[in-house]
Amino acid sequence: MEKQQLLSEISQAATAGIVTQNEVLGAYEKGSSGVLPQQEDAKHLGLSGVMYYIGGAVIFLGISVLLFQNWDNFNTFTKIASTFGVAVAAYLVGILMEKYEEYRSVSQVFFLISALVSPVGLYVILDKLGLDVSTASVGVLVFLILTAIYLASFYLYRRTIFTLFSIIFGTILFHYVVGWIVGESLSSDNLVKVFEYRVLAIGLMYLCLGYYFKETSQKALTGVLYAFGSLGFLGAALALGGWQPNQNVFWELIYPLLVFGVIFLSIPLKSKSFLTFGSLFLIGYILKLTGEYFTEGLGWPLALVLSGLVIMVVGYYAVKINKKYLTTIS
Amino acid sequence: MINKKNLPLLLAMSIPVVMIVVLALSIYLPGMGKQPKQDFVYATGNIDYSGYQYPVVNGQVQQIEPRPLKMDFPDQKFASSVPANFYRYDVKNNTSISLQFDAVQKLRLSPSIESSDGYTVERGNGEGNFPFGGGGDYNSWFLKGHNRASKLKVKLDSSPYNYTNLQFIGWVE
Repeated sequence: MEKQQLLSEISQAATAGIVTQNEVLGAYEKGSSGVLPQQEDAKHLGLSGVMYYIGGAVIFLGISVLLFQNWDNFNTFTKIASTFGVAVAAYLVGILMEKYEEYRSVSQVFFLISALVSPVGLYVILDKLGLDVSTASVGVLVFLILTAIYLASFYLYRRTIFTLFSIIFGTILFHYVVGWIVGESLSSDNLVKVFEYRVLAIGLMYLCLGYYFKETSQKALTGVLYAFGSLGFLGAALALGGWQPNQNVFWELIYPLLVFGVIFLSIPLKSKSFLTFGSLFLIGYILKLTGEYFTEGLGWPLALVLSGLVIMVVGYYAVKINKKYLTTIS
Repeated sequence: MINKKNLPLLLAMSIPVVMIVVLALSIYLPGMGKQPKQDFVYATGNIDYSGYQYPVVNGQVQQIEPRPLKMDFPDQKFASSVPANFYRYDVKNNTSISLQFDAVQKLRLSPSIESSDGYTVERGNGEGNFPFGGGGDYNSWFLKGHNRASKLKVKLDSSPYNYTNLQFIGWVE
């Protein structure tokens, strides 16, 4: 990059209020003192990193095909060795590689393989111990063990992959605990409501976690958590509104506040996910309201024309917010 | 004193915990201290629509024989000609006691879906698998009431057609 171009871009960013004088000076001081900013973000994954992960995915696929083709021929020991054994072996290889700087990227792939295979391994062990693995209580046990292991691994090694799988396993654990408590106590209508509240709670939890990670070494997860969080939160809130004649007035009335809240939060949080999902769910909400309340009075074609116009307005402002405040956010 | 920086993390952790606690309280509190008292009678085995029917009339179970099929084969004994097996479910001890039809006829039964103390006999809802599972099981039967459900130890006898079905006959009065 040319010096003049760099200085010009800094000037433009300062005009837009994206960088402050202190931030520019801080970056200059860091560079002049020889401390280079860390580039371990998942966003800046190099070609070799991509190849590692593709290799890891192929290994996982190979294990899956091997198990699928030969499952009935395996005895108990082989079944446990080919699932739980593989998970433990991959984890240990990951730990050994993690100790060397040059193999650190590859170690992530082994941790990934271990995380993908270990739930299957634990289910196989519990099945062979005679437990009914289709029950929610066994699901609670499996994912409680996995969440604890991955939280402990994060505490020991501070790698983002452990945080990611702690969140994934923790989410599944939450689903199973709720399922365990609910059991057979509720009717199918109420089960659907509980499911929607579960997704709402998880969405909100992801948004809080994403915000917390923003200022920590795990900031690579913020974008993913914001995306899944806003998707889950707004999707569940829209579903909770129901459909005429069984609509829930509380959720239908509060939904515009939630969706505009998410859109406006995209500016201070500098999140494109908030803007994208906020705009998409606002469009969804407009279409839902049109379908629910305005098709009979106005007629379906006119309702569609009006909702199309409103959607165009939403799209225009979404693009405007994106250009004005979020263009430099990747 | 809570560090303000950790507030989002604490909030994130507390959301699922609060939901679990609220859900558990709303499900278990209403049924606290309540136990089912009324036994019921059920039939298993051959109880499909073409077999014997067992309606409860004036508090007593009746047996209606199946109509003979037009395309009957004289050499073959059809499933529909085999009567069902009867059990009285003892809700206090959670056991099924086998009964002959004569013994069932001597009992005074109520065919109402709900017992006088607010319980129903229902099949599992089938929700129970990864990743959004409850604890359900479509092949199990439950005694439900007051927001609680307990799994019944019913005898699901196979019919000649391998039906593992259950027919609720009535509550013992």
